[in-house]
Amino acid sequence: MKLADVVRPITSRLGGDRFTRTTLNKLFPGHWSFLLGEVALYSFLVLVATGVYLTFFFSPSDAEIVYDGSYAPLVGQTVTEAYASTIHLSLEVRAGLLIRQTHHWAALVFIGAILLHMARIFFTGAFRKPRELNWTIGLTLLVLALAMGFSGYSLPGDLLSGTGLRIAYSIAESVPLVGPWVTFLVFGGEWPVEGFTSRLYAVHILILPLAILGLLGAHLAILWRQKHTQMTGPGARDDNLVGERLWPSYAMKAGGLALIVGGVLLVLGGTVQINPVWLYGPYDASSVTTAAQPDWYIGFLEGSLRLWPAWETRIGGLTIPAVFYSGVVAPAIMFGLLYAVPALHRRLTGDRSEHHLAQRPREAPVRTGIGVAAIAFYVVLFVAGAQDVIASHFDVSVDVVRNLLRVLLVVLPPLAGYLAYRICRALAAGGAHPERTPVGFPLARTELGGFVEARAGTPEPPEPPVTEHDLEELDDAGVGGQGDPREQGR
Amino acid sequence: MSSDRPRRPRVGDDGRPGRAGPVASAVVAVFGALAALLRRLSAWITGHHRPPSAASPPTDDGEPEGDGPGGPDERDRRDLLRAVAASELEPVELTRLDHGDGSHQWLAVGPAPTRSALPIALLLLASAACAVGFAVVYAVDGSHVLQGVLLGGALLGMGVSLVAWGARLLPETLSLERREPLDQGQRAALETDLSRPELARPGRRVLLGSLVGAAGAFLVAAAFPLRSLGPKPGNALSTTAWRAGLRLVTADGRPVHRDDIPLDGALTVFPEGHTDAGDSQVMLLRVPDGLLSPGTASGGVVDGRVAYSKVCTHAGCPVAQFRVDSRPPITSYELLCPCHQSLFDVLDGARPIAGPAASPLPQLPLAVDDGGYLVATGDFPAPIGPSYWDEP
Repeated sequence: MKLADVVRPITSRLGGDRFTRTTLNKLFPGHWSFLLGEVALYSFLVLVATGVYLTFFFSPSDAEIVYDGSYAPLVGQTVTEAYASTIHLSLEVRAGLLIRQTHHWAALVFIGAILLHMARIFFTGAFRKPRELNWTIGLTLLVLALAMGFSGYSLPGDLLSGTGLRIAYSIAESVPLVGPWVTFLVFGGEWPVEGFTSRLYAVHILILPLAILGLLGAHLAILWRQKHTQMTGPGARDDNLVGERLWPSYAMKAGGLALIVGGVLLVLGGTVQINPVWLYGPYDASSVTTAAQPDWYIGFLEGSLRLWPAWETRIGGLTIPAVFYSGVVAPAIMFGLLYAVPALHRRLTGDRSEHHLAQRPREAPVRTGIGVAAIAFYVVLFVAGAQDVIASHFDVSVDVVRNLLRVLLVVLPPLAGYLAYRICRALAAGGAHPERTPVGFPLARTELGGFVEARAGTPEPPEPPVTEHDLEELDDAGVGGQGDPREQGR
Repeated sequence: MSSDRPRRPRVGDDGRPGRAGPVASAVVAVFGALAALLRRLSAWITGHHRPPSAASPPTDDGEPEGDGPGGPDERDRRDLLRAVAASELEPVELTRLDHGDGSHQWLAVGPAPTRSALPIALLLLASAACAVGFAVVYAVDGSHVLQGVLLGGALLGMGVSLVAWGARLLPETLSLERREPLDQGQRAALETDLSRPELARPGRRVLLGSLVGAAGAFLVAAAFPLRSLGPKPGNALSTTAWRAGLRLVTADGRPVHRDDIPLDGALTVFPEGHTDAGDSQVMLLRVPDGLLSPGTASGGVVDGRVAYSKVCTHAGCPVAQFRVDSRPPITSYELLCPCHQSLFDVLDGARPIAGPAASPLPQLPLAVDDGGYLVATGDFPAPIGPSYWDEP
């Protein structure tokens, strides 16, 4: 049976022949960094599939019951239904633990892939006109993914997740003036709020997934309409696109990648334990653990909370809480700047034209430097999220680690940014490629026809571009005549 | 570097290419090694080794624009040939694909690979075996580790097979298409269509204003039900369940006698009848009486038994760690919040001494009742927990 016999009955009824053909003919430029977004997409599919399965077993209720399941250390303890059902689906439901751990791993990979994808877009300037809208949508997807992750690991009602929610509650309280009102409306009352889990559940399995699905659709539709950017290279221009057609081989490779992502996540879910909530115990407002760490993507916010100095000001009867700076202002500035990237870039470079050729990071040294500085800032915050673990690991005082990180937070970004800027300038000037490091030393021809070592500073001859001669050779080899190629030099 | 060499040309001073500096070279070397490793891995799966895209931008060698044999179509063909020359594709065929809707692509196809499909078929069989294995492990309620490896292995096997099928068994291709401008330059026509005078109605402004007003009113009305989501904060955040005369009880409701707490000991206590009140949790500590600062001692202390709110004033975590450090020169008594490592001086009113917390933990005034049990003599003198803007 031909594939067309499967497709035609549908397209002939929906008028989809042309659309299907355009889709099959869509070109995908071949560069590994273009796959990062795909990995995020496939992780999301894994999240949906495993998440739906988990809903069949999880009970989003804060009602207290006496635990009598198979995990002996907890038997007889008063726990919430949410917590008990999480343990039940982990330890008693067959394949439940595999699916739950795969779900958690997929969330970690999802957000990681989004961040790497965003870095690729930034460093290649792919956010420039006409792709500003997709930058904004993608960034919103990141925010939603972070909310998705946080709401997800807060659901089980274990000690770690409850503590995380308590911190979120405090941050919400610190919003100027309406803080207590906002907090009471969002959380439903004074902490600890009974019944909040069902509210969080609606957010996690309905509101956020719908928002992500909608924006993801828009993100892909815009990509489809605008076509991919492509890396600079021979034959690549701003007004063309060189790549592989979707059908058949690219589709197989992309489909294969999707399955590989799913497979890796399943293997991780089976072999690498994550978030064993039965070990943490149920949440209790007066208990807490040491060395508590959030999931990695919340680490930067945790670090911000830890590093910000104890600045609390009282002005005219109003108190400005410390967490307002570290928990509200800092992330607002970080994401505000990210949202402003296309506009700032337009403003600072005066560049308003359309671009379809992705730049290499070295072609925009200042932008690359700024990006590297931002990453350094993020990394210091991320590390600070584990300052207590670092302190105990190296057996130094937390004060020392905290102060060191505070200094690094200020010093490292400009240093790293400047270094990246210099490297970009040097790479751009030297034409060096990571895989084309020159071997040996340059030679120069003397007038008499001999060779001498070229002195430093003598410009090396540029790599010869593809010449007409090369093209003619290709032509002669029987490739691509203007007419029917089969008639030529076979 | 010997001194007789000329100064390394500074980047950009003369527009001529210079050399990468030592740092850049080191970075280049590290990245090069990493990239080569990745490339070898992918080559193992895909069966080919694609050289990286060249650094030099394409040179426009002034080909004629316009239609005809030397026109844009010829340029496209040559661009594809350039891209092909830079790739490792050895094309045997270059075709112009007319899509019949005015668009077209140039397609370069490599030779049909003659590799055996056997390894892929075997991999797919292995994948199927993994799937069956998972079913068996599930049926016998085997370990989740094996479940993950087998189910994941089934997907991985299929995934790698598909990639290898697409990359090793199908001819390699490269295509080029023209990018139609996204800005179709229809501004004037669009403006006309948006506001055709013959289709407009005079006095539209009034109607528009009213529509905006109605929509605004609706949105405000629709926001009212949000009020049902939570109670009014009122003074909930600034008060707790503590009242004068309420006994201190443990989490299981047992009253705390003055002798229940040893020297250097700590106990989490609640107001009697409110053991589930998160805002009323208190750290009851006992330190040598004489060490407390005068201010702390006058805040309601019973022979060195001092009580502080257990809710951290930074972000609300329980300040659960009581540390007595008796190393010379002085013994320090500190409360530490494990969440963000705020440190409070127990002897001096739980004043924050390190970390991000800015306010002291409010002190609960204590007394002893007739039976020797500890009681509170009132609520905390200040709101407990994290601050908020209009905190009293």
